[in-house]
Amino acid sequence: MRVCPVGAIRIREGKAKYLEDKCIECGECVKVCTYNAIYPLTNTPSDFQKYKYTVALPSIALYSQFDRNIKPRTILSSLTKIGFNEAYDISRATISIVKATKKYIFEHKENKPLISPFCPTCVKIIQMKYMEMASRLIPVISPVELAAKAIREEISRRMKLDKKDIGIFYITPCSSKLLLISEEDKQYTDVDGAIPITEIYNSLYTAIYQLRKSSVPEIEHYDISGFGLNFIRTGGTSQMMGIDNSISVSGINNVLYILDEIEKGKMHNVDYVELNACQEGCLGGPMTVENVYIARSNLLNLINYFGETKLPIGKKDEYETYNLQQDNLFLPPENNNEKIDIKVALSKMSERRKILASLPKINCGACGSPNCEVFADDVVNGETELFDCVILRNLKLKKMLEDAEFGMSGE
Amino acid sequence: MKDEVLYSQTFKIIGRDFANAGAVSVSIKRFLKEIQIKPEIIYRVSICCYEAEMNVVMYAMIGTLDFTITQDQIIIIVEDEGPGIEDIEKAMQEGYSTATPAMREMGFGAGLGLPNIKKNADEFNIQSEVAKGTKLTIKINYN
Repeated sequence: MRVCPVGAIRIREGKAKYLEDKCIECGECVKVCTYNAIYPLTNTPSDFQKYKYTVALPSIALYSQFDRNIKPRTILSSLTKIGFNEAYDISRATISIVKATKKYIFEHKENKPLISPFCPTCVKIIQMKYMEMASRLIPVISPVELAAKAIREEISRRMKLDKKDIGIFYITPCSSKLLLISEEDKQYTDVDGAIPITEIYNSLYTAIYQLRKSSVPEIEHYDISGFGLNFIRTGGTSQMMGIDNSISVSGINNVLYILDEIEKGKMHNVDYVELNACQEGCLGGPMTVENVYIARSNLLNLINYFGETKLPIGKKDEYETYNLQQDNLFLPPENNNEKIDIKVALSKMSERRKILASLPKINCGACGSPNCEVFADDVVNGETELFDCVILRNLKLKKMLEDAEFGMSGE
Repeated sequence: MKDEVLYSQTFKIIGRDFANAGAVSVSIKRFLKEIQIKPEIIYRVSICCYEAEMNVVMYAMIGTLDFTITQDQIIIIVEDEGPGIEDIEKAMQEGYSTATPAMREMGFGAGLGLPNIKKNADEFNIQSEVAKGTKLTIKINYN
């Protein structure tokens, strides 16, 4: 309950509940729950059967989850052994995305600091809590979306398939991407489904093991960019763009802190702020298997292994025909035009302040709300009662007892 | 009653206090969020507050920001003791600024402050007396 950075979890009648309209899908609760009682809903095997041809689109984070002797091509080949018809690497797509982002930053210096749009949780936080900063989000699509678009076209041409018959599945460490993609309303995504790394890990590991034992050759044609692998690392996108005047922030509480600083107008001189809700970026995502330090070490090794440390110049950009920029990508939905009854709102607020003043403010959480402030909110909104506060209740009981004793001795 | 004051609060702004600059705007913004004013309005109010607050921090010695809510309007009055503005018409032009190089280094002084306030306010009034101070009145309708 307390780990939730936005106070969206309550304990009611002995069970944890979460408030959907407050959740920013950061996955912090998924990370800490040792019983794995919290998990986002994912795709089921029947989703696969809808398609004639399936493609796995693994996040770069997947490459970092295995022993360093297991290279991306082995992982990609193994994906084709566990039910996908094909697997695609997205490290080239990240380069095109980074180029587009850099171009946007140079064209929009008046609105600095501009904010990276690649962490869906950070985007959600901004839309919910820092709405006036939404215009700072760089309106560039994510590499996965780009890759999905390109692959769908390529396969439908090559295999003479209808685009609808191709199912593209993102293998992801990210709870937020998972929810974004599995939403009913598909207007924001070209990906058909998302599968957490944790869910696929065991079968994939077995497949990798078998592939390495057998004499079946691995598919060698994967053209992976070491430079592109940087994308999911903290500081990776800034490094790829070569923007000196940038900061990289990771970890949800650090992100909230920096957004507060931007709100106060303290970041005027920074061109680009890279935000990652998870520590160390996507490598620390809630749906990863390997711990974040090993994963980082693995990733750095891979970057060295592929040896492309600078932006590849002269290489043909296979994605150049795509439109990477999308206006209004992150603008929050229009609000309804309801007239505000300011008197009601103000009286609610003063009541809330009164309640908060009477609370012990030790944030014990025994009432089922994460802290006294949120508890005061909940009382005002009628979701809980003032005497659900254990300390206030104790004081009241004590007073009642004293009054009773006094009454008896008086007789 | 239309002009009935429903809520009011006064904030103090201290000149050259760059460490706390922006704090008043943030607390007003939090307040407006709490009473569920529409985001679009909050956005406009916070831009006005921020620009006005920064003007006091950068140029004046001391100032106050009066924040009032009536049945229809949010009224912000910022009054300071400071150098005043010599040529208000010039100060209202985009790009005109008397900021020092040091201020510009901090990222301020683009000459957009006052024009920006005017753009975002429904009613805007500025009075200034050289060597005495400046008074801004900003009104924004919220319904």
